[in-house]
Amino acid sequence: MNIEEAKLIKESQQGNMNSFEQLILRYQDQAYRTAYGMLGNSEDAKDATQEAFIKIYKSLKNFKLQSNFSTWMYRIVHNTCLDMIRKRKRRQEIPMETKRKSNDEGYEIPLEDTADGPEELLDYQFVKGEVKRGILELPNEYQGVIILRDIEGLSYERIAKVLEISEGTVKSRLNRGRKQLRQRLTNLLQDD
Amino acid sequence: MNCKEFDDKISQYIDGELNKDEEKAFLDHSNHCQRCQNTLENTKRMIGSLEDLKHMKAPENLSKNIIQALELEMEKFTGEESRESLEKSTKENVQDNEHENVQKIGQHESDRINRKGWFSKQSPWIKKASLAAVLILIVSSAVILTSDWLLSPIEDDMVSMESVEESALDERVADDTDEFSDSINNEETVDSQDEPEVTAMEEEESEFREESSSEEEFGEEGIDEETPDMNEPLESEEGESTIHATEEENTFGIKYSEWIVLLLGIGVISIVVVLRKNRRN
Repeated sequence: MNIEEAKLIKESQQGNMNSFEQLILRYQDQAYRTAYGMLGNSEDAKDATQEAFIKIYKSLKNFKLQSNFSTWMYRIVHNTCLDMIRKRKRRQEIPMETKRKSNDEGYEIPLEDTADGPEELLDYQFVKGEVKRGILELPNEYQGVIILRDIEGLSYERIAKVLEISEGTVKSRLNRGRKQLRQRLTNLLQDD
Repeated sequence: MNCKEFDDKISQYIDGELNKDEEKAFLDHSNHCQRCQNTLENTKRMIGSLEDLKHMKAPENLSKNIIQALELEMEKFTGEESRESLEKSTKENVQDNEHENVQKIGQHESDRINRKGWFSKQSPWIKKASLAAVLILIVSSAVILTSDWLLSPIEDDMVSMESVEESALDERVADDTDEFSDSINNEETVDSQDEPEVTAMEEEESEFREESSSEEEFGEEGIDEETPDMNEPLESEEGESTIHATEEENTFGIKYSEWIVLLLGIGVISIVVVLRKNRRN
């Protein structure tokens, strides 16, 4: 943790909203991406990010500066998303923003991907949509590791700290989760 | 390395978590096994499809929205907190005041504050119920006062009757001169002979009259003192009005009970209303 971040945290602990806003601006993209990956739509992702940062602010007094703020932040976002998923399951509503063979609305396709022909682009978009959809349908324990690794790019060690599991468990969960995703994708490509 | 081992190591290879030896063995197998090579390519492609998500940005106003939501929550929180602290400080103030008042004003004042303290500690519905009970007590007191007022004409009648009787007696006493006292005594004697069923009271009264006539000598004051007992024969004359007054009293008594029932009903309705309102709150 750098000095500037530590200062922001300390000031936020003292109730300085401007400092807390600076902290939010530093980490909101990571939090939002994680939430989006886990929940699959921008509205729920916004709600989860907001709820997570409110929780963070309320718990900030207990945060020790020796700890890693981003690890703690990821943990709270992840747990907030799991709570939302549980609530959603209780309501038996599983809205899927991503639909097969349709453009994803939450993000833009990088320009370099359009270098391929239209068929490849369609195939790319299809794969992308299915992977996102597949992540949403994965068991929660695989979901978290895949998002934190493949979207957020965290190391195994940090993933282990965020999810409070061992590195070995991270490895095995990641491998199983990816295998399940790949299997799903292979089945869909074979069907087409 | 066989295909199963290769499959188990794909994730670690992609993430650069294999050591050099493991990596070499992994790549050797991949070069010789087309199926495993395709699996590796598909996995890389799948992970690559998430690349654009890595560049995803949060909505522009997200941080502002979070701060606004947070401030709203904090306002609510601080509002509750300040209210609690206000209540706490009020209680403390009351306790402090209580201590001072015990010294300054005395025990009576401190008892009053104790009562206030008890009331402020109660839940809202108990407060409301207590207020309703106080209201009923006040209304009941008012009814009692009203009933006294209602009954007062009867008492006035009784008093006036008594005064009429007294005046009549006074007149009689005034008329009872020495000239007529003997004749009156004679008449009464005749009456008592004619009416053997006369009551003992009447006899006593006649005796008393005799005494009173003899007491004329001592002046009017002595007579006035004894007049209440002497009016008993006049009761027969005023009997009807007395009975009538008793009937009026009964009539007022019935009205009084109706008033009580009515006011009790109002009290019960007010309690029910208060409780329902409390339940809604």
